[in-house]
Amino acid sequence: MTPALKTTCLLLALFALVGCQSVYDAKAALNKGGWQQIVTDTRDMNEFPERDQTLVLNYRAHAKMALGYLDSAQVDYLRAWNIMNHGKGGGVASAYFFSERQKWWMGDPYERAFNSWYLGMLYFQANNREDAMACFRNSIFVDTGDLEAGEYAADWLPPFLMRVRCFLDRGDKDGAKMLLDEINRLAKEPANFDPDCPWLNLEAQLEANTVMMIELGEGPYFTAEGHHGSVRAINQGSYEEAYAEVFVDGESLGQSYKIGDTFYQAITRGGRVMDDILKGKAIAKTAGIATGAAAMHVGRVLMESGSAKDSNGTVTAGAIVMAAGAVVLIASLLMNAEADTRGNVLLPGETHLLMAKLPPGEHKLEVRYFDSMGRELRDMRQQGIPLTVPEKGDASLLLRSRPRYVIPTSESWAKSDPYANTPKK
Amino acid sequence: MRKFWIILLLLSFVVAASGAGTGCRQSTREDLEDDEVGPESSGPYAADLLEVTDEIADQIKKQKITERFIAKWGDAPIVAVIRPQNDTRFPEVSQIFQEDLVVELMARYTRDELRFSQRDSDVQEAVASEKEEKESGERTDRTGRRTKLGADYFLKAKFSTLSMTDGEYEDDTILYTFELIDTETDELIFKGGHKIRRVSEKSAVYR
Repeated sequence: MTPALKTTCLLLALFALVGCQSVYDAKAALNKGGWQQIVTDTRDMNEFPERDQTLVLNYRAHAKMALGYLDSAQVDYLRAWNIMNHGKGGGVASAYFFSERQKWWMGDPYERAFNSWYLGMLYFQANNREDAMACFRNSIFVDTGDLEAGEYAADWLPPFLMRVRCFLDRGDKDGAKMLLDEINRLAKEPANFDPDCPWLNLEAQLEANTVMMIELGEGPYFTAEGHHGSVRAINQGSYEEAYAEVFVDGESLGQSYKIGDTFYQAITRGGRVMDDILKGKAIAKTAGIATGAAAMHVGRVLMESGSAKDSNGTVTAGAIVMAAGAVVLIASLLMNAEADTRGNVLLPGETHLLMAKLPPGEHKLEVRYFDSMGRELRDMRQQGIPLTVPEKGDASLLLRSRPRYVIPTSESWAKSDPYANTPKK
Repeated sequence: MRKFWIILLLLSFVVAASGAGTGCRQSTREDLEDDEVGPESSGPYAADLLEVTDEIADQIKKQKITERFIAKWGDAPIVAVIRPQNDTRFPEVSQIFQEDLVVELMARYTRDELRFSQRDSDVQEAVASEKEEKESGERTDRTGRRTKLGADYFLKAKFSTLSMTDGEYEDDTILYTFELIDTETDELIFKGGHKIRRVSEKSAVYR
C-alpha cells in the first residue's frame, strides 16, 4: 500500500469518526427545483443517516404540504411528531466526545413548536378539530423559553389563536376567552408580535369565520463560530416582505398583523446544556493539542540526549513520553468541539394573521406583499387562490410569500400520494 | 504496515461503537399492557386507554343500564358514542379510544342487550347519500322505509391533562372522564373518572 493510499484511508476513517457527512441541504434543493425538488430528493428516508431523519421528515412534510398533498404531509409530520415528543433520541454518547452532529436531531423548542403547529393546521383543515386542539396545545407546551431565567415560555401566538378557533368551534366561549386572556397577559413586545393586532379579543374572534395564516420570509439558521466552532450562533434570515394585504373577490380585507417571529423564538430559548459541554470540549481540545505536542517534543529531546549519552533508560523514558504525547495529541485532534448547525431551514421568518367574516361559498383571493416602507413587492403577488367558506365553522388558509404554497383545489388532490406514478430510483 | 492496520481497526471499532452508522431497525410484538416497553415518554399509553375502556364497560354493567331499559321499553337501548374531547397535548388518542370502546362494548353485549348508532361524519354522509339514491329509485329498497337510529344515550368522554416540564422531565397527569347521558331528559346516568400520571426523562443534551 502506498503512503498516499494509507493517508487517504486514515483520513476517510477520521471523517467517519468526527461526523463530517453533510446534512441534506434543503435550502439549496428549494432554490434548485422548488418544493418538488425536496419531495423528490427525500422519497427514500433510508438514504439519510438515522440521526438526520427527523429533520428530513420535517422537510418532506413541509414540501408536501406546500404542494397541496395534505394527507401525505400529515402522515410525515405525525411520524416526526412522535419522534420529537416521544422519542428518546440517540447518539448522545458520541456527541460528548465527537461531533455534536452525531446525536439525533430532535429540534429546538421553536422547531418542535412548529412541527406541532403544522400538524395541527393539517388536522384543522381536515376538520379533525380534536386532534388539532391537542397539537396546538403541545405547540404551546414545548415552547419552553428560557427555563433558567423563567422567561419567554409559551409566548408564540399562532397555536394560541388556533386553539381559540377550536374552542369556538366546540361552542366553548369560556375556553376561548381564557386563552385570549393568557395572550393579553404576555409582554407587548413588537419583536415577538404586533400588539395592535385587532383579533386578540373575544368579540373579534366571534365575528370572524375565516382565518388566514400568512408566512413571510426566511427563518433563522445556525452557524458554528468562536473557539473551534464551539459557539452555535443563531442568524436571522433575510427578507424584504413586512406585511401582506388580502383581497377577496376584488375587495380589500385589510392588512395582516404579525403574530409570530421565528428568530425571536429561536433566540429566547435560553442556554443549552450542550453549549457548556462544547465550551469544555474546545478548551480541552486546545489544551490537549498543546500538551500532546509538548510531550512529544520532550520525548524526542530525551531520546536524542539518551542516544548521545548512550543511556538506554533515558531513551526508553523519552519513547514513553513521546508515545503518551502522541496519544493525547491524536485524542485531542479527534475531539470535535464544533456546534451542531442542523436546523429546520424551511421555516418562515414571520407568521401573520388576517381574519374576516365572509359569506359562505366559493371565493377567489389575491395576496399582495409589501416591504417595511409600504412598497409593494410585485413579483410576490399571488392571485386566484381558492377559498371555500362553509355554512358553519371556519374556513382556514395557510399561505407563504416565497416560496409560495399551492392550495389544493380538490379533495382528491389533498388526499393523493405525491409519489404515485413516479418510479422509484 | 502492521501499525497502520491496527490504527485503522481501532478507528473502525470506535466508529461502530459510537453508533455513527445508521444501523438496522427491528420490530417485535409486545404485550399492550406492558408499560415497560414502548417509547420512553409521558402521555397516554395503550394500556391506559384499555384501563379506561374496562372501567366504562364495568360501569354500564354495574348501573344495570340494559336490564332497566329493557324492563321499561321492552327493547335494547341505543347508544351513540360521541368522539371524545381531547384536551391533552397528544393527538391521535381520541380516535383509538373511541374505536376501542365500541369494539369492547360490542364484544361484551349482544344486539338484544345494547345497540349502537354509528355517528361518524363520513358514515353519516354515506348513509344519507345511500338513502337518497334508494328514494330516487336509483338503488333497490326493502319495502317499508326505515329511519336512522335515534340514540337513547350519549356516551361521552373527555381527556384533559395537567402538563409540566423543567426541560429534563415531562410530567403529565391525564384525567379521563366519561359520562352516560339520557338523550330524552339530559339526565346524567353516570359519570366516572380515571387519573393516570406519567413522567418521562429527556436527555439533558436535547434541552
